[in-house]
Amino acid sequence: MNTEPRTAPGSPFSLDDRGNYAAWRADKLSATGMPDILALENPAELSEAERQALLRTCQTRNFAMFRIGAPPEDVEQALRGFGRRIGLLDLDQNLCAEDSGVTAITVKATETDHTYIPYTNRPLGWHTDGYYNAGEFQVRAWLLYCARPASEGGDNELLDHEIAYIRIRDENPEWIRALMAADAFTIPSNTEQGEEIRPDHSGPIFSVSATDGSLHMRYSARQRNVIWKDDALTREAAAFLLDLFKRGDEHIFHCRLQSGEGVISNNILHRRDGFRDETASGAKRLIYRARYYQRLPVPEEY
Amino acid sequence: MLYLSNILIANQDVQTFDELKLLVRAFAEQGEMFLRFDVKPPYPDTPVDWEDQLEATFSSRY
Repeated sequence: MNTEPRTAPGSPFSLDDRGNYAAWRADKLSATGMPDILALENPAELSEAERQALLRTCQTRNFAMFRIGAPPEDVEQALRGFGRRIGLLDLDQNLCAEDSGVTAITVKATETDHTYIPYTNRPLGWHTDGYYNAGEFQVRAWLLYCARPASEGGDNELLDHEIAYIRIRDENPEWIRALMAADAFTIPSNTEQGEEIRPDHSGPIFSVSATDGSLHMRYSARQRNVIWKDDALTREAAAFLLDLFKRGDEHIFHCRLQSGEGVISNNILHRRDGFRDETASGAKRLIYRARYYQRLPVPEEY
Repeated sequence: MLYLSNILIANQDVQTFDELKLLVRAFAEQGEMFLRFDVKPPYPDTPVDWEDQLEATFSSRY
């Protein structure tokens, strides 16, 4: 079986086509600085101008920030409507999702034996969402909405995964080839109370969609519950990425979402600081998250 | 690759889990990139979620 990663002719992600890569790279790196926070009147009734502004930003940066004028009474319903209106129809419902597919992320006790770090106040390392999902269930887009920030901490950092691709490829294109291998990254099985709820599965870190040619990244900086392919190129590439996060990059953006603010993205890299909730009032940091199996549409498409 | 067992063997003066966390943080700050949790720390105060806590200590910068 040929395991060489394939890309369509003309793709900037073809390692054999430096011209297309150079043009795409220059375009990507020219977008600097944190994008403006886009004001939205009512997310469930997004205007065409608001929708186009969000999609244009996401087309360039793979993410956009937004602020909702008046916080909705029913946040989950509003966010489902927001996703549909913008063109995201294929909601992921994960192990801990509420019935609606929109998950309230707050500190809470788990009913399982496992601690899921998103539901604690601990820091959450660099990752893309759904990195543990099997191949056909890749999360292509997500949105986060802040109903209530933490009393202290809980800041996020964001990095367009296409920028990460550029940094790695510029350092050593062979690392990209290694990270596109079908066995680059393995997630061991997840067993709870003796029952296997997710089998082992391997996949690439970077893959290119056969449908639209877009770049997808599946990544976690975790030390546990991920297994990197045991070869020199893969190890070097993984270490380079960790070092990139440590060194910092002008395209890594820091944000602290306030009530009513959110991020929508084509599943870019992100992390979260640990945080402390208000002890006197008992008010907890509350972030809503929705994840989708499809990317955001391009502005002309919808 | 840094193995937790190697840290424990080389630092037998460490007597508590909190001391171990300080040591793990120091290794991370020295530039270690990967830590393998191959053995449970044998201290009386080792918590149930010791792996989560050590992972957070080691990799909070990432």
